[in-house]
Amino acid sequence: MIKTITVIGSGLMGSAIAAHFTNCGCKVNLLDILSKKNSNRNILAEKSIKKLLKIKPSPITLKSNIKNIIPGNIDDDLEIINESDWIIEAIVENLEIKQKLYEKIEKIMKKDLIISSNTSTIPISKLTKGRNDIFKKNFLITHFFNPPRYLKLLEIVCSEKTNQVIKEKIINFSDFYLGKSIIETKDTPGFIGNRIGIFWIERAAIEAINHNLSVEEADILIKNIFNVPKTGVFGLIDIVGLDLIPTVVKSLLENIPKNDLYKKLHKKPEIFDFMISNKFYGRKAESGFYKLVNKDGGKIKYSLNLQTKKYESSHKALIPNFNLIKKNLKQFLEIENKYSFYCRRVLLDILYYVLLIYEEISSDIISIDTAMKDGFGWKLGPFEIIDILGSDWIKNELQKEGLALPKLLNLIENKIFYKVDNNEIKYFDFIQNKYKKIKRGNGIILLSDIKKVKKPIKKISTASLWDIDDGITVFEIHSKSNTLDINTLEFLNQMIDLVSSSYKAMIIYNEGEFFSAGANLGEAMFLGNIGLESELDKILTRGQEVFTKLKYSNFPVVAAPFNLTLGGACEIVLQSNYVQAHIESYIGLPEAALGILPAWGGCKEMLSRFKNNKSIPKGPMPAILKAFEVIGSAKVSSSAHEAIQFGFLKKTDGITMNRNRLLYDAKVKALELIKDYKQPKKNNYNLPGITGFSAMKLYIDNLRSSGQISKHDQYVGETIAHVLSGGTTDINKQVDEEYISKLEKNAISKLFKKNLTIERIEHILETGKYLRN
Amino acid sequence: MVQIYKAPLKDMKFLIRDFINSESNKIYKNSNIEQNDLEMILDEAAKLCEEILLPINQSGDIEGCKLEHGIVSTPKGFKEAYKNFTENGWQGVSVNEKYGGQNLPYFLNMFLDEMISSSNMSFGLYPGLTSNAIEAIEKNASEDIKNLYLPKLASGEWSGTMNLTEPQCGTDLGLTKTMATPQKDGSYKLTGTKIFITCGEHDLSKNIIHLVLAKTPNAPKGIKGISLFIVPKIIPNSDGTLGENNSLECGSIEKKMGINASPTCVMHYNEATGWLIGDLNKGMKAMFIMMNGARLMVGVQGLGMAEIAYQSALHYAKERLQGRSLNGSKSLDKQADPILVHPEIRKNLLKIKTLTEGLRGLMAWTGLQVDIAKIEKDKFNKQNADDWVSLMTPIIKSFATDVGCEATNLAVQIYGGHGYIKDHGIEQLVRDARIAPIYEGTNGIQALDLVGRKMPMHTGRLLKSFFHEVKEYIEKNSFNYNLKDFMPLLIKSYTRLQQVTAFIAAEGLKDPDEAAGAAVDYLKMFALVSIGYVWTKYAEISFNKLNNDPEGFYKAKIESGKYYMTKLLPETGSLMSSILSGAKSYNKYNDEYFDLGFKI
Ligand SMILES: Cc1cc2nc3c(=O)[nH]c(=O)nc-3n(C[C@H](O)[C@H](O)[C@H](O)COP(=O)(O)OP(=O)(O)OC[C@H]3O[C@@H](n4cnc5c(N)ncnc54)[C@H](O)[C@@H]3O)c2cc1C
Repeated sequence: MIKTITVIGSGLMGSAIAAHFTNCGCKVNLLDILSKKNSNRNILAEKSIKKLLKIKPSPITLKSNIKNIIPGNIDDDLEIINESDWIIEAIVENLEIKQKLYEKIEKIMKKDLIISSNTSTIPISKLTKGRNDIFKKNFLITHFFNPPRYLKLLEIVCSEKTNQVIKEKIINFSDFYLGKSIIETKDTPGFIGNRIGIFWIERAAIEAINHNLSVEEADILIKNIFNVPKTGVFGLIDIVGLDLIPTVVKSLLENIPKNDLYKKLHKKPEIFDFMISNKFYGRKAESGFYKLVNKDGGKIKYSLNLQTKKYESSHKALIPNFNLIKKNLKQFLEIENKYSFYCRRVLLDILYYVLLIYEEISSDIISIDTAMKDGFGWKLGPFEIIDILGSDWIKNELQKEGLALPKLLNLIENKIFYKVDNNEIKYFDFIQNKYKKIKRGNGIILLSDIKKVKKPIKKISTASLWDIDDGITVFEIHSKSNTLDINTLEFLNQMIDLVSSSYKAMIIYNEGEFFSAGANLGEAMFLGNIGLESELDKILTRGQEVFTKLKYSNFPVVAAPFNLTLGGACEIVLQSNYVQAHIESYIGLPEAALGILPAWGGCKEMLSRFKNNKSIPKGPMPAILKAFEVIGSAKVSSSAHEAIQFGFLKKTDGITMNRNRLLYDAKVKALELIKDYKQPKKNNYNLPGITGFSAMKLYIDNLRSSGQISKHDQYVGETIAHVLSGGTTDINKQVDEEYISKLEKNAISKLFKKNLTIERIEHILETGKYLRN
Repeated sequence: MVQIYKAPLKDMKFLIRDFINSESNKIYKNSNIEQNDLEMILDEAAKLCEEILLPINQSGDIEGCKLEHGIVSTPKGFKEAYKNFTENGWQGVSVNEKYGGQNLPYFLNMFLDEMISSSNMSFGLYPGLTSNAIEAIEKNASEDIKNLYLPKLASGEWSGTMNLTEPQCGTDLGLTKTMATPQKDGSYKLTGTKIFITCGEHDLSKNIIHLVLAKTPNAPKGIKGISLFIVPKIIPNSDGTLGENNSLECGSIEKKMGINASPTCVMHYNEATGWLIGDLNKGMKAMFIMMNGARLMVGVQGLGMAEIAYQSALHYAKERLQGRSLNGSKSLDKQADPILVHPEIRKNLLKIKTLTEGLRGLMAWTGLQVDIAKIEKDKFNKQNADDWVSLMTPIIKSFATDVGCEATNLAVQIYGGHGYIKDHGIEQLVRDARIAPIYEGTNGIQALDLVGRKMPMHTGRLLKSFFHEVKEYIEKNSFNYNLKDFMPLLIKSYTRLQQVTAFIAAEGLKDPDEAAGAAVDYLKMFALVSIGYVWTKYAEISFNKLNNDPEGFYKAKIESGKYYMTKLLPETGSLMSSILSGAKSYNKYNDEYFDLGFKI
């Protein structure tokens, strides 16, 4: 078991890697070089640790994790490596310096110390040159991608000498505890990810300049062509840091084969030099291709004009026929304008490059696709993209340019790289020239795989129920933003009956971009606007009924949330019998920020959670106040760990570090629960009523008079306080769950009629942003 | 025999006094105008329309306009009428005082326009287009342009036009070809051909100010690259005096079905000098700002045509003797009874009457919302008024112009063969009314605007302005015994409209063709329910006035309302069935099948 590690080098990557190890409970020694100028010999590492708290998105799942990183310096503390299970070197990308460090390590290391380097470009053969056999046996490259908490890819490179047991140990640990998606690559420059990724970034940037595009135009095109979330190419460079790119590029160019396409196409745009000399490195320098300038209390976005090299206020790019990219990419690429020319150029260059070098860098196509998906955020890998465009398209385009056809294109049957055959998902294995079944590791079940070979038990346009064997079902939501509308609720209702009679358990899970954004507020708003309050009422009532039924059904329900899990979706989590959450679960009840409150059982559940929470003082008020704090301030967790602190998850709920293992873990739990399953007992509450309300009102009034909340916030807060304190009850009366459900419903119906609430909801639906009014 | 028309002053005054008074006070308070003044203005306008405009309606149609050497001459009497019209300040009725207008309420303007359309739709187009041009300039142009042009336009000394259409581009303005090349002095040179330009050239005003949609050389493709320009026939000097002739001309005028006394011109621009109005490439935005107004006014034309059709047909139905009433003769002293005794004639007359009166109320209410939106301080109330206007604009434009066509056709039917021949001037009404469903965005486009833009806008917020108002009304009045013949029918049709709205919204998300397919039926349903709401309110008001109703005006309103609620409103039922059955039967109909009946 790996419990303690040492990271040497506390730069951007080193410290972020250290941080990520604390996310799975490890203790980390973080060593940097000795500061000779400063009396504090550990100042460099200490500074880096402090910086971690400021980085966004946060590299740690809980602020307190930071305590598990112990700073040190190489001169004084190198001995500590022998108290570690694994040491990771993440110092400057300079072969000589690395080699010197290894030499030192070699001298003092214990025999079974595992050593890895986070080099991104230097081959292992060069790194271990001159080291003894023990060192070589224990040494491998573990190449993390930045930011390591969020980018799943881990490239592992071994030499012939590397001990297989050690390799397996690192792979297993990284998979289960660091949540990594691991590929083993050959010992070639830049391995797989950077070899293609750097080429991609450079090509996309240079061609944007050549095609006279603005940074916004290039970004929105790259973002949509390769389906990278959030940033396009220039946005990505801003995140990575422009200053880091030349070193990587240089190292790559020095090491790749002489006739490599990259050597031919490489160019360093003048604007890069200009930016570097002006320190426009990107986000960390607060100016890059984009910059945000504070003005009149808000932030204004500027972008660099690639031609004039001046900042101009940033405008959303308008691309003609933009929707075609999603609808029919091929057709989009055929349009005769600079936008399509640009996309065609970049796509073709990347795909062609991959088709030239695949054998050199990898032993299978899956690793290449995985590298680009999990290391650079592409939604599809290069071979998957070729499958979509059709290999004929590529052939045709290459022929037009007079290029020789890469042989792989002629080898694949049916012109595709992946296919479903005999209920098996297969990929083209270029070593044996045949299609082979894709093997997922033990403990991995992917719904996307199941979907390729099975039909759902039942399906409507927004949701499906799947049989994943052993009596376990998956309820999958697949509406826009995975929101819940009335039809989906009705469907869930029917599926509960079906599972109750014919299956043993239900897992609520999907593989969309996120778990669910909650109730379909657009539907609710629209119905409200056309005066169909009765329908709105139906949505509320049905939601409460169905979620209650979910909780008290005769089979266990396991929710498996990941990423955004908001509002109504959080209420599913709260009312499931068990939760297996991915570590990256952003669970919360943001209703108050929209001028409403959780009304599908959210208030009710939070009350009983905190009532039963041992760490909260006894008596009626503490639990209510805690619920009020969470609901009233619209809290959303930034990790599953934080979700436990906020009370959205129980300590007993499970957390899965690796996204690919989530469904499997949930299934294991479901199988465990179905053995003599007993449904939970209903809760009763003794609530303080008006006296409790007064206490909360005082607090709200204070916030209002100190100007921290708006008048409408105050109104919403009081409405929430009314529900949580139990309305008109008093502490001696016992009320049941239905009673609180009714309070929830009346309260939200009232809030829904308020213009300011409507304005907030309208705003979030139209802009995706919260409105304070 | 000629066309019969008296301005429906009593009905208009009823609307002012009893129908919109609950909210119109706000408007009076904000200006120095009183209800009384408005009524006097209406009386004056009625005189103008009945005595000056109506008499040249039929003759103008017969004579038409003529083009000789690039000059269009209007029919006899038009010059004098225009002089009278402008000298009495009618052009500037609702124009800002700053530019010499009178800034009267918008709803009043709608009444005036209705009278003008009834009495002489062709004539109305001259000042009508000027009004559109004024609005477009006032809301988009720079101060310099406004100060130079608006006073002359508001006085009617100069007139205006709108130049959108080109041979290859009608509905789809993205196809515009006319080019505007920037000049060093900030002006532009425009080159291209515009067609169907109403009043593009004529002899009524001293100068004609063309507002022209065109593209600049590097503009983005399609609708996003269109800009609006002001191009005067004669380029004014900076002091407003007339300078050089611009290089543009009217190449020909169309021979057409109706509105013959207004010229429909082909305009050639040959490096004509113009100036940008509003922002570059934002021409459509500028057009949309004035489009609501222009579209409402075309709706008013439909209403005006229905009104004169009604009055003429009613007059004829009382005079024409044919057949006997099946219930025993009514005029024993005559050889036959007037055709008014026949059920079908009565039913048709009432159809026109109740649609017309209902629409008039809906328009007055909508006009009032335009006024309220201008002065309202509360954000949500202002928004609500704006939302109502945006929502109702396509409904009013489309439904009222369809009513105009149907009403004029029914009038011909009531006249029988005497309607079909030219003498009575009734067939002219059919021909004149027929353009209104076509220009200012065809009615099909209006329906798409309703379903595709207005309905989903802000998650249905525009719909709220209507649905919530009616809902509150229903909640308040569902136990009003007086309204026992009204409320159940209103509620039924309202509920249908809610259901259908939810259905189309849901279907539209899945397949836009489904929503588009239902659009025209939906718009009609919406209009019928809106007018049902208006009639219910009329009835509510009228019941409270029955104790002082010497002429039976209020009694008649209640009875007319009953006709509407039981005979016309139920069509919402069949429209609903049609909509709920989906649009597949035509959207998915095989293109090949269309010509199987005749293809060899
Ligand atoms: C007497 C007269 C006066 C006019 N005055 C002026 C004027 O002053 N200024 C000016 O600029 N223009 C003027 N017009 C032009 C008028 O506005 C156009 O005729 C009108 O916009 C329709 O364009 P179109 O005739 O090219 O028909 P098209 O656009 O060809 O439409 C033909 C049919 O197809 C339908 N259709 C078209 N596109 C769609 C679509 N996307 N979806 C669904 N249905 C569609 C239409 O509803 C219509 O039924 C005038 C026209 C006439 C006849």
